[in-house]
Amino acid sequence: MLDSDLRESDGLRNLLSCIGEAQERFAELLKSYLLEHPTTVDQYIRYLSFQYHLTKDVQRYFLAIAAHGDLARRRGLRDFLCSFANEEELHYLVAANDLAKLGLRPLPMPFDVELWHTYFSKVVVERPFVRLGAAAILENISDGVAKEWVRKALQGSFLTRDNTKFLVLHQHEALPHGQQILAAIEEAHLEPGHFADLNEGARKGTVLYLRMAEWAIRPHTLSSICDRDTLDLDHCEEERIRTFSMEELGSQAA
Amino acid sequence: MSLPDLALRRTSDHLPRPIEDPRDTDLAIAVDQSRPPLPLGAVLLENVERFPHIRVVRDYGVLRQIGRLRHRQYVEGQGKPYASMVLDPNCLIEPGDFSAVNIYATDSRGISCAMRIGAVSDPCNRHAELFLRTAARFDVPVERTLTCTRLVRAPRHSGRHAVDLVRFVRWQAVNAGWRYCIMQTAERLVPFFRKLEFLETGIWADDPAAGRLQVLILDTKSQPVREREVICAR
Repeated sequence: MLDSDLRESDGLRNLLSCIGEAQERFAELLKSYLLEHPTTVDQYIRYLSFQYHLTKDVQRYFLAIAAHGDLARRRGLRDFLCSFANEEELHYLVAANDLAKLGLRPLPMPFDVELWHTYFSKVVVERPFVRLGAAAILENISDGVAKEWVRKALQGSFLTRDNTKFLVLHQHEALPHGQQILAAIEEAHLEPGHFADLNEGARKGTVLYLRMAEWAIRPHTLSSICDRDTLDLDHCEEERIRTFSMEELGSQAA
Repeated sequence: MSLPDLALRRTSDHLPRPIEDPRDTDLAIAVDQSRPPLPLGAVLLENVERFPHIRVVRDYGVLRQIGRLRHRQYVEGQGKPYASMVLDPNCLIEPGDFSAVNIYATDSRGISCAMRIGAVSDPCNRHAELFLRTAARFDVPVERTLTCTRLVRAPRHSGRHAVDLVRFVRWQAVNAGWRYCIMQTAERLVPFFRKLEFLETGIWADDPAAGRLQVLILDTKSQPVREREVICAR
């Protein structure tokens, strides 16, 4: 095995370790609530709301990563990121339409999502692998030891076929984004500096995502002091959400 | 979800009065209701020209404010042990809030009154069974019948906006093909609803939480405004 291969496998191992740790922390967070209570509709509203704000315009990040010069000789990863951007681009509407089926608009953007965008939109231009590391967390954090608690969290009498499209989409086994993103990273033959950035992004992504999850689970957590009651949503966006159909996801490639 | 222990009983020996057929007046033009009514979510939209102070709840933060008013009025004020489905303390939010439409009136100090409007057949309606039996007894078509629940007012407010909420629902819903409203209320509020053209059915129920409630029916006769308002406009 060449030195570069060893370094690469160490880098990937570190990333996998970050993911495993994130899953453990996520499981602990969910367990701390779910051991004694079922999920409530307000927690679900908060979950869908932060996902709406987190995933809106997500394609910009992936296209920005793909545009970086370090991917000039890593076309496989670039192609993957472009496809991924297309696939994920409309998912924010799925979350918002699920909320519309409950008769509600998304809550205003939680402060932790604001922090996420403020940090990652700046860092992605020069250090794209930091954002890619965070993506590796987002796509894998619900798996592993967290899986059974996530499954438990997503049960409730208020959940219907109409208002769980976002969940179904992200839990469907035909959409194994977590594995796909790790495979794309593994095949890209990245350098130690890239792996360092991936791990930094994975850890920072874990911190911010777990804060968002805590905000959803515990409505009186510290971040909630920044909450506002109503979201300014223009009429066009409201119509876009109301008329959204899942068939639009299938026609993205056209 | 189990239904509350409600008994369908009449308080007098008089036979229930059938709801009269629609009557046209000179100014009140009955809305053509040959087509099925539109869903309430598509019907109860803000009408800024006619009802500038009436809003439809679309934000959870607003629903939470209404839930706090309900808790204060029903649970703290009247001692009714209603259960809430959310984590917020002192906030009454129920399954029906996510299948029905909540509306509210505002003034310069915020929410003054609020009310929930749902289809009478909505399975989330705790009183659906009683209402459906009432509808059957009075030959009221269920598919054109809505119900109003959880009428609340801010403690600082007189409650006069409650009339505007009912007027708003009538205007919007009748114009979209709805005709009847079945609801139940405490006996002391019956005179208030009679002024709004609701009729007593003679049917009442003992609700484990709310006590004795009278079931009322409003037949709008497909007219989006009250007869009294029509006469005033002449």
